Formats: sequence, structure tokens, C-alpha cells
Amino acid sequence: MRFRVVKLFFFVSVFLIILRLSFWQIIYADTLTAMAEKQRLDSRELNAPRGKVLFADGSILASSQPAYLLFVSPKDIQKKFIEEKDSESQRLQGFELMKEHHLKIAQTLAPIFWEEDDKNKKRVPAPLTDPPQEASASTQSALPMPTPSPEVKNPEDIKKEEIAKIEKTIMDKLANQELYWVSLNRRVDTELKNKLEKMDLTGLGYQQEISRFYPEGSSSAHLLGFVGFNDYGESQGYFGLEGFYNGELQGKKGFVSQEKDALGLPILIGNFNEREAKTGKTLKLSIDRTVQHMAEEKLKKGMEKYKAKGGSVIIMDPETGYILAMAARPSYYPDIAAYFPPETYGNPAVADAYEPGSTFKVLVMAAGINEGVIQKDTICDNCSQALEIANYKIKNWDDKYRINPNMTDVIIHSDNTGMVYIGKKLGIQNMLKYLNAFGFGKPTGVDLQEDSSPDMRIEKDWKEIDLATVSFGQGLLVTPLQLVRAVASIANGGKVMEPRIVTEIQDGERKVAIAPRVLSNPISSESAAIVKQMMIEAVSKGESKFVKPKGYTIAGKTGTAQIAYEGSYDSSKTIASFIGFAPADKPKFVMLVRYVKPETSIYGAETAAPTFMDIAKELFTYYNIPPDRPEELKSIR
Amino acid sequence: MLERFNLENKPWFRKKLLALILVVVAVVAIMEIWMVNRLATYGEQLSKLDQIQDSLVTENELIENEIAQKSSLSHLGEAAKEQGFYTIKNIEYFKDNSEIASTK
Repeated sequence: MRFRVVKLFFFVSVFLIILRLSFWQIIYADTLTAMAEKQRLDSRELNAPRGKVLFADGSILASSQPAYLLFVSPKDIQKKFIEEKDSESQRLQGFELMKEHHLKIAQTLAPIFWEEDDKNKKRVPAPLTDPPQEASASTQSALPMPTPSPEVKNPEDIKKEEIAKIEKTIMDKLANQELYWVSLNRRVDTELKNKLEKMDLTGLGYQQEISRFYPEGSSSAHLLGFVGFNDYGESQGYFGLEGFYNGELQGKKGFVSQEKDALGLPILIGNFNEREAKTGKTLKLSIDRTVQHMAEEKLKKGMEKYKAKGGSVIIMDPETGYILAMAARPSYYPDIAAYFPPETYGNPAVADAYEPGSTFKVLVMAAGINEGVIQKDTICDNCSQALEIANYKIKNWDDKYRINPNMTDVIIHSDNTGMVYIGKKLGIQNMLKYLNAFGFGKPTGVDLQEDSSPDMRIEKDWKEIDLATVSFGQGLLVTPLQLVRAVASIANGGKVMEPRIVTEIQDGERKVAIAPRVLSNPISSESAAIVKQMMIEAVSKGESKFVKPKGYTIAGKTGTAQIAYEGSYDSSKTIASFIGFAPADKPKFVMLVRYVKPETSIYGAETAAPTFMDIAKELFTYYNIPPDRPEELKSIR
Repeated sequence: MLERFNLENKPWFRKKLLALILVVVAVVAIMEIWMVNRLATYGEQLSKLDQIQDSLVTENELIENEIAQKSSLSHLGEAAKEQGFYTIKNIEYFKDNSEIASTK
């Protein structure tokens, strides 16, 4: 009997041991393996530097720079001050010391964070100092920054209050002592990291990340877009090139796993696995940084001079469709995008839908000539008075009516009645055919994330009044780039080119060039030449003749489009623009200058045209283009 | 004819072989202990080299960016202004056949 009991006890014991071993070896095996690996393996992700963005001359527009995510580990602080102590009294004393340490961290970091925040706020231009709104892409500090109180207070008091708020936020984050990792701030630069490291504050840690560096500041902000964080806390490009080419620019993260010893040092003969991080591809742009800088400066000065609410300049090479410059205001600094209102992020040059007004007339004229319904000397026999169509009265912009003007006169004087005459001759079907061929109603295909197109009415929805208003550029929405692309076809002999900004994608030694692409041929070269001549005369004899640079032949057209508001047009609020190209015989550039709601004058001839000519003058010098009408110059030897 | 090698006929060889194996095992064991001890201290050196490499890469990136900033147009424009340069207002053109300089 005793033997049986011993035997039973023996078997039960063996069974229990097997059970326990099975638990460790089978059920809990993965967890234990992971714990063991965590103990002996140092595994970490390697950040892939984001690809560079280069101007056409190879200089840097955006590159990467090392930055750090500053975090704190309340658990490590607790371990050092409390858990590692032997006696209860030491632990009690440690608790007090830990509280002091928390306060020290908060008091050290709060003024630094405040200063950084204040410095960024000061970079935001005065009209845009509204507190930053919650953007889908948070790009800045992980800490909620306090916003100034509306009451008028002493700046020093405000500063103290704000610092106290930041201190409190940090203290709150430190309060949860079970946490190993709490983010304090993102994109901490190397200088600040080194400074904090020297202070040797227990619990602070730094996780390397990559931030964007912009040597030219806010230059080309709308072109570039910015880099923020997505829902997973990973860097992601938003808007512009950063958004469009996010996949190419972001590269591939790497991974390294290495065995370490008890001191945490790598073991030379231990396991070592590495997958190198792959740097993102480099984008080379067609943007000429000198032309871009020039366009931005002139636009800024123009907006101040004409008191405009917004504006944009697009300069394109008509032969290739490559964009040479694209400036828009109000702009923002891509490194502190979160401090600016989200409505400034989109690029107005490709995303703003507006009625083009008289700048559109050259395209309708080109359609009429190409279709053969009019010639350059066709007489408008219905232009001597305002027209009435479907209970709407159509007037000329200056309310002056010339008797029997020819088509060139219609463009020179920008007569709406003359354009309605062409519109009627064309008819709805032909008008739609040419609008489609010029690329309206669909995105331009430019490599910018916000490229879009306003919808165009379908044929059955067109009425007689629509045909009339579209013929002089009202009642139809276009984007500035759509208009530039269409007018470029007059400059290059009838080809609609695909606008491009990136000309080459570089992946290490491998380079892929992006060739120009012809999208359509809406008009013949003969028709283009006729309209070009009309545009030359519009500049030399029209409203903008006083601002034309002497010695050069420029083809262009002014535009003043009233802005539609709640179903009617407000005559005091306009979009003033000028579109043209030069030198007219062999165009080097096609350019659109556009002001939104200029106050000093509502007319394109008095606002956009002078800016256009100002930029054109500098471009002639920059591109070494000699005058083609030397007889107009006084200072020639 | 070749005579078959028989260990039983040569006891002295058996002892020598055993001794040789023991010596080789001992040497290998000592070498391993020596290697492991020696390599254990390399971990620290390796870690330091890694840190140096990281800091040099970081420094290089920062210098590259600083150069880019110093050669940016906004920076150059300001520097040019400080040096007394200004934008040309009136450009004078010369015809192909005009004399720019002549002797009298």
C-alpha cells in the first residue's frame, strides 16, 4: 500500500512537472523568447532620411536634418529615487527627492519650450497671428501651447503665466509613474539636445527622428508643401511636392538587431542583423531659384502696393511646360506650418477656382480663328451698343462702344460685346470642344498634390447667356495654372503641354528624367500666330501700354473679373490679372500675375500688368535677352 | 605491398596521439577563453566607435545644411546689401557694331 502511494505521488509529481514545463515551453514560449531577446538583443528601427528637393541649379530647397523626440520615463525616475532604496525610510525620503526632481525637470524645460514657441509665433506675419487651428496633420510640439489671453497684460506677466501652464503640463505627464515613455516635445534640434544632455536630468531620453530643413525659409512653401505626422506618428508629406511625391521622398526604414552584454554593450561575436535604411529619392525641379526669388519678391511688393488680399505668379516655359517659378501669397513657413491657418496650406496657383475675365478672351478668339468663323479683320457689326441676352444686359467694361471694330480692336479694347459676337459664331458645341481641348474641366496633371479642376457644365445645361458670358471670361471657373497652360499654347504654336515641376528623380546613382509631354493641339500654328499678333497689339496699344518695357515685344492681355458673391457680382471686389509671354517671336516664358481683391485699383491694367512688366524686365536681363525693338530705347549706343 | 597500419602493434603511437589531442583541446580552450575575454572589451570600443560615427554623420549633415543656408538667395541678398551692392535700374545696351572703347 505504502509503495502504491509513493508511486502515485511520484507519477502525479512527474505529471505536474510535465504540465508546468509544457506551460513554459509551449504556451508561454513566445513571450519568454521575446523577453529573453529583449534582454540580450538591442533592436531598433533606423530612420530613413527624407529625400532632398533641389532647384534646377542643384541648390537645396529642402533637405533633412537630425532632430530628436524628447521623452521622459517617469518609471525610471521612480526606480532611481524609490524602488532601488533598501529601507522604508530611504524610500520615503526618495519620494520627496523624486517630487523635487519632477519639479526640476518641469522648471528647466518650460522656459525652453516657451522660448521656442514664442520664436515661432514671432515668425508668423501680423495678419495671420490667430491661434493655430487644429490641423489634421500636427506638425509641431506634442505639448499643448498656451494661447495669449485677450486681456491686455504686461508681457512679462503673460510670459510667466504661459511658462507656469507649460510647467503644469509637464508635471501632469510626470505624475503617472507607471509609464516608461511620455513624449514631451518633437523635433528638438541637436543644439538643445546637447544642452539638455549636459544637465544630466534623470529620466529624460532622446529618440532620433528626421526633420525638414529649408535653407530658403518660406520660399516656395506652396510648391513644397510640408512634412507633418500621420495618425501613427510617422512623418508624412502634405500638400505640394511633399504630398505628391511622399512615396518617393520618404525612403524605407531600416532595422538593426545586435546582441548585447550585461552592461548593454554590443557583443562583437554575437548575433547581428541589419537592414540598412534607404534614403528617400531626390527630386530635381524645373524651378529656377533666381526666378522664383524674383517672383516672390515682386509679388510681395505688389500686394503691399495694391493692398491685395492674395496673389499668385506663375512663370512657365511654353515649349516644355516646365514651371520656372510659382509664387503665391499669403504664404507660410513649412517648418512651422501648424502656426499658420490651414487655409494658407493649399497652393492658390493650382487650387483656386476663379472667373478669368478678359484674360480668357484670347482663347475664345483663338478658337474662333481656328474654327474659321472669324478672321483677324472680321468686322463686328453688332458691337455699337450694349447687348441684351435673356434679360441680361451685357456691357463693355468702360461702357464705351466702338462702331464696327475688327477682331484685333476687340482684343485691344477688351470689348465684351465683340467677344459675345465670336461666341455666337462659335456656338455651344464648338465652345465646349475648344474648352476641352485647351484642358479646362480637368486637372492639369501637374505634380502637386492639390492639383484640381472646377467642374464644367455639361452641354445640355448650357444656355445662350452662358455662351455669351463665357466668351468674355465670366460664368466659367478655371485655375490659374489651367489658364497659363492654355495661353502657353498660343506662345508655342498650338501645343497644350503638361505642366511639370520635377524634371528628374534621383535614386542614388540612378537618374530618371521626366520628359515634356504634349497633351493636345487645340489650334494650328497659323491661328496661334494671329492671336499672338493681337496680344502684341493689346500690350502696345491697350490699357497696359504705359508700363510695357521699352525695346521688347510682349504679347499679353489684362483681366479684371468681378467676384461672384451670393448670386451677384460685387463691382468693387475683383480679381485683377495679366497673362502674357515674351519675347513674342520666340517666347522664353509665359507668365500670369494675379491679385485677389486689390484695393488701390480694381483693374488688372493698373495692378497686375505693372507687376508682370516689372518681372519681365528682370527676366530679360537674367536670361540675357537683347531688345528686339532697339528703336524704342533711348539709352542705346 | 603496403603494410596495414595497426595501432595495436604500436602502443607508443596511441599514447602520443592521445597527448596530442589533449594538447590541441587545451590550446583551443585557452585560446577561446583568451578570445572571449579580449573580445568582451571590444564591445565598449565598438559602442564608442558607433557613437563617433553617428556624431560625425550628424555633424556632416548640419554643416551641409549650414552651407546651404549661407548660400541661400535671401542670405546672399542681405550680404550683398551690406557690401553696398544694389539692383541695376537703368540698363544701357550696346549695338553689335558700336564702339565701347576707342583710342584717339
